[in-house]
Amino acid sequence: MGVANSGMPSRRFRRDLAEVLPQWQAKGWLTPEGADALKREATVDSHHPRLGAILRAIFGAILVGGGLILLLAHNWDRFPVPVRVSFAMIPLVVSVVLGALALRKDPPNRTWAEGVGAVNSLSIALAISIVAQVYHISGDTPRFLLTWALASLPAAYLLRSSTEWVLFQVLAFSWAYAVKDASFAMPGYLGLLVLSAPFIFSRGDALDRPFRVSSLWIPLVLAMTIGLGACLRGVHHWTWGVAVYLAWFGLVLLCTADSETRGAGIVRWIARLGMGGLVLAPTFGSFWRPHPWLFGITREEAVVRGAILLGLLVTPLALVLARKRTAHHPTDQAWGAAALAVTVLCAGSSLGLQGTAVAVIANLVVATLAAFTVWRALRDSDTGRLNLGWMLFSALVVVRFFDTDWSYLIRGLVFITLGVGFLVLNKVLRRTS
Amino acid sequence: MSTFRKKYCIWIWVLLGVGQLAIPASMVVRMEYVHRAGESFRFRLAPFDPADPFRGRYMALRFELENAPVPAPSDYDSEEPCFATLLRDGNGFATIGRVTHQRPTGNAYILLAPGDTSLTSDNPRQLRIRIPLDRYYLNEERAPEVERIAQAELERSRKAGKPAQVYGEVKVHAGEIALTRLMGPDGPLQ
Repeated sequence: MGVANSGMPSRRFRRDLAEVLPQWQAKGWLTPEGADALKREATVDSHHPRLGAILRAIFGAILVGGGLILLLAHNWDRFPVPVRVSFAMIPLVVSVVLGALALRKDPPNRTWAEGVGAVNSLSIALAISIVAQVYHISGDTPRFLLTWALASLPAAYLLRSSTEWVLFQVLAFSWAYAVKDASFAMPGYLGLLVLSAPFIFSRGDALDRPFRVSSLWIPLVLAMTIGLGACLRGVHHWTWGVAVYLAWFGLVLLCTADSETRGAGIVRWIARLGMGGLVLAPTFGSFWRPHPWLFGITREEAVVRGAILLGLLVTPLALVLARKRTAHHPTDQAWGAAALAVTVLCAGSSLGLQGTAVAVIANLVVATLAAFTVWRALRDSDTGRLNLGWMLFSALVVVRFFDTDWSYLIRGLVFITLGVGFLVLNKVLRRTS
Repeated sequence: MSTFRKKYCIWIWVLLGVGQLAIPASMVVRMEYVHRAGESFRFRLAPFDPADPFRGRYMALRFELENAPVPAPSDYDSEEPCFATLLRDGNGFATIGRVTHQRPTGNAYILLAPGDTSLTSDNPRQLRIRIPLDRYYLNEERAPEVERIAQAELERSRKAGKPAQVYGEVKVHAGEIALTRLMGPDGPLQ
């Protein structure tokens, strides 16, 4: 009803409650004492500041610091080296002092902690950059990013600063991109994620706590989605990038299946849109050009790659089988089934499966998924999911137009089939509305 | 919050702050040590791209040393760091003595990371090296003038067939290298 799984009222519920309470009182359904009691129960946590205050603190701190730096920059060349080095360190020293002041209170004031976290993280980068400039030190971007990230993460934990933690996520995937051609890109990035993961659970709150915890999933999911891309640059063939991303988005859907918060909702939409785009991949003829990934390699490599393949099947399979977990989102089972089918097709293409017939099957799989999504959305009167299914259908039609691997005959037949489907759906929608 | 956290959080934070400060401080200490204890060398500049020698607030550097291939060590491994010993030619400018994977004796050598060396395409027994100094920070208002002076000198020397009098003064100590200043025909370029 708007109460999250942890028992904490969602923000929307509190807003609606604030609107209806006076009306209920006016109608005599609620006494003043009852209204006050309800307001107290649904009140905002006193340690939970408004987002606006936090953002103002962060931007204010950054602008003040940036302004001071610009003033110094105007006279930079006149300062001797020791003075320049001192100026490089001052913002960092100030952030440490402010952090100590913030930590005197338990838990730290959220607004202060977020502002100090932002300043602390940026001060680390500033100090390193200015010293490098003073001494004309050569640039080493990956090393700079990694040092910055690892130096700021402990501060994020101590201050419990979401801002500094989000900056860490940005630095982590930036580092992964900077070293994307190196063999240690993927394990390194996963290592950084493992280091940062406990932060989400470190505050002792349930995952569904509004804003403070659930909102962290949004930057985390976005950051990991981008970071995965960096790590997959060296993958043998792009079809495997498709399978990895499907497994990733399926994992996101599984983890957030029982959460009703706005943050979880946004994250789920990111995952669904991502999966929607990815399941279109095997509908292209170029997906089915041979790229033997499991041939011409040693037995050990074959075992490892086979294990990776099986591992990628786990999440889609879990989405399909975990009906209890996905009971509130039945469409997720369809997405899981589609992801499973596409991953199997990826494996097939690596084993030499090719040809137009397979691509047609892939098109039918996606069309079926879209149709199922639309049908369930109509049944449950869910406009969001209806739009998603409709978009998937539309995307399927549009990409077919640009797909040059099929003959005009095949394209023509597919277009006609889909077009008839659109018309039928139109009629059903009109009848339903 | 646990009692432990309450009691020690601030101290842990201060320790962390010291650790964060130690990062740029260690860079300063390292560079200052090289400046004070290092041996001086002059690295002649190579002509740079006239279209875009400046990126942001710094001048991209290339040295003549990087154009001359040197013999590769017999056990050369591109994935391992190398050490390049430095010598002086008859005009007092730096040349590369030899490149090895073992740390040489003395202090007049620079450490080259795995990406700083590569075998030449025409002779697999020779290496090209990249000096780990690639930028010189300048005041943006002075930058056009510095560029003009450096470009003019490089062009003049090319036409005369003589080495250019634009070079970097560098301090080297036990593998570390620090650029102290750029010199033009009439003095420091800054």
